[in-house]
Amino acid sequence: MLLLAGSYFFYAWADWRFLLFLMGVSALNFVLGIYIEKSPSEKSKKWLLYIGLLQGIGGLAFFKYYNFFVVSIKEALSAINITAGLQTLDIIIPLGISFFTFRTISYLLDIEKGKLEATKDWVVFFNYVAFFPTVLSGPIDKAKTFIPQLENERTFDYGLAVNGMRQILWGFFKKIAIANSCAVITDEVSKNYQSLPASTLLIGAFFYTIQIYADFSGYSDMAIGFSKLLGFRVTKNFEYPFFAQNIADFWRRWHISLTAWLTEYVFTPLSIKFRDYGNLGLVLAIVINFTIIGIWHGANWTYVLFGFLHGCYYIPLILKGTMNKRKKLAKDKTLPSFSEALNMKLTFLLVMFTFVLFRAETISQAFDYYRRLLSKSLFSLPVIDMQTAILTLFLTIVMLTTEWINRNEEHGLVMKNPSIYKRWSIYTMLLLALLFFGVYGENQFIYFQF
Amino acid sequence: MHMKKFLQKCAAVFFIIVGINLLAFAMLLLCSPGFKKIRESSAFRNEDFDLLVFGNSMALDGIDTEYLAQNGINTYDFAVAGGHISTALVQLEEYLKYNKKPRTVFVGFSSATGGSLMNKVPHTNPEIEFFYHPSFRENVLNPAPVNFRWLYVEMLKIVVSKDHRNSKIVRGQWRSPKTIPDTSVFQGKKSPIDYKNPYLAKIVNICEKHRIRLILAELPGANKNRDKLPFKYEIAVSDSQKATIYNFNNYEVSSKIIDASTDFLAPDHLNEKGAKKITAYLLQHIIKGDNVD
Repeated sequence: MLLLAGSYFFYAWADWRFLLFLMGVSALNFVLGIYIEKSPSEKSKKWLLYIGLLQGIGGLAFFKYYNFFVVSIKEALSAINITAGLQTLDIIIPLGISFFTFRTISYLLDIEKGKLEATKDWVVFFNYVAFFPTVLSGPIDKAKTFIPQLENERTFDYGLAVNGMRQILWGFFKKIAIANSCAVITDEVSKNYQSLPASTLLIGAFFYTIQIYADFSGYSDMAIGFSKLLGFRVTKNFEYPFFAQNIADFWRRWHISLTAWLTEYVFTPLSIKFRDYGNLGLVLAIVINFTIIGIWHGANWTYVLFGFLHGCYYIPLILKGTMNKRKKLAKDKTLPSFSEALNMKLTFLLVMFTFVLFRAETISQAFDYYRRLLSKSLFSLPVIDMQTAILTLFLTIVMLTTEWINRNEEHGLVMKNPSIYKRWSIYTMLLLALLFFGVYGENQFIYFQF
Repeated sequence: MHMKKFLQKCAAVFFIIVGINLLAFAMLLLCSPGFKKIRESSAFRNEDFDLLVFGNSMALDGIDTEYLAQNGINTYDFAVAGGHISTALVQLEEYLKYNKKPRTVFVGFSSATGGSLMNKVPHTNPEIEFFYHPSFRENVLNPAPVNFRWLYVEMLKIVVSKDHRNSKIVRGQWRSPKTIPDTSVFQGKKSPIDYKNPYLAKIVNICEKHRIRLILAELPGANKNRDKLPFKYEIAVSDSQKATIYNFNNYEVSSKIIDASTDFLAPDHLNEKGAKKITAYLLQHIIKGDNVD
């Protein structure tokens, strides 16, 4: 109960206007879960599930996508000289709606499929939906792994708490020292991209890719770390995506909780449905899956195209039959092999290319950026605050090197039996970096908007 | 038992954070010339300066306080790098509260480097806020390494650069022997400058009220940033107040006083040679009343 009160206080502190909505969503899905389980017939189970899906997907569609649909329909109709009387609405999007909706949907789907028992304890369920470290920006935990933790009694776990504190410190470092420093550069580049040479745009795209990783994985580290302090094990959200060997490997490492969710509830059913069509069916399932991932991020065609492109990146892997191939990176070696390093760079470049879309406000703006990026001025001197750029690059190298060393561990600051001096020197260095290189101010987490 | 050990470690981290902040603050107090200067000047009591200098980095480097003192004018330079005219107002008001009024106040403008001193969005420098309006809450929320970060960069420059080590603050002036020739070319700027500003108007009012002579002057920048505006002319500081400005950024006049190849320490910033030349001219032609029109 205390945890629930804390979670609601945290949510209300971030934005109190939708606290009742969050409670209402929790109440409805709690009741639906019990009734789906109790329902004697498959048909009534399905109907109850549809009510839940209607609330979940309908809520998302209304709050996040209503205006997007209206504007898109109006634009499409105006292209053929038809004027539609549809009006956009002044809608405020509830914080974390994409995250808690996916939680409630997976809960109902798992009960309906008989994979999960509905909880009879409303405090447990309400806590599952509103758990404060993850309600605003994930990771999206599935009910079958998280609800049992809420139901069981927890005792203080020293090792888990220390690990959590380290993960929080690492998350802070990534957010405050790296993501916010990158933001100083990328905000400037994004604002003035029309007057800057291509070399600067390339640097801007590079730092934006680093920024979004440091920002989101930094938040995830903090959320998971705080959960550990409370005795919870929250699902992993990142596994060093910049060491990925190809795009499939990248998505196994990037926003893992979302991709795992969509793999279970969208991609797998689709690929089963399309299995008669061979590789074409697989391509179709992947492209649909990734377009949904794209649109999950927000109501903008840039996100749709972002997801679609990532889906298309899979096509060569599907054709070669290497989509699910996983190889341990630099096994028993300190450094990656030449081909591993090359694959990392190529994957990074592919991803960086799509993050231009992620940052742009419209598709035409993104294409304008691409056009300018691929111009002759790519080889001119960049116009950028060199001091900030060099410092940010240095911090990025520190982050990536540390994560490379810990690439087989849960997070960048896992330490196995280090001496007390080494341990506390690392803590002190990170705190120094946070104090002297951190950028403080109005830099919200990027994924809060989703 | 485990919980206790964990809490002890959290406390240790907390003490490390506090320790780092205190150490960083002590470093500023002991090693940062700029920070020490503001600390010193904010604590002035019963001082009897004849002339006070206000402005930003151009005034910090560009007026030779020692030369004026040697010529019988007890001077102190309050200018702060990155300062705004609102900063100058705070410093002047505080000085007048606890000290004897000066005979002259000099405000050095910096239109050569853009409008930062007179920016429409005022800001008071963090170090001025720290010493003039101390707030425990602010100091906790914005500890020294965050609030005064650029001062650490300046200290680092002292460590790595001999020129910085040879520079010093004397009577508030940053005196530097460093020379970087200005090779830029005059471009003939002559667009008028807007001096209407409530903070400047208040400084004019205070000086009138206390019968303090106010000298407003544009300081000389690099050749490319100098202008063709007259050397002496009348400006409006508000709808109803006028003042006189001496424009050392006038290309013709400044070229006669300073040498672009020897008198700059950085673009738009005078070294000790340049400062001495400008100050000598200021003393002879303006302060002592031998005015040029």
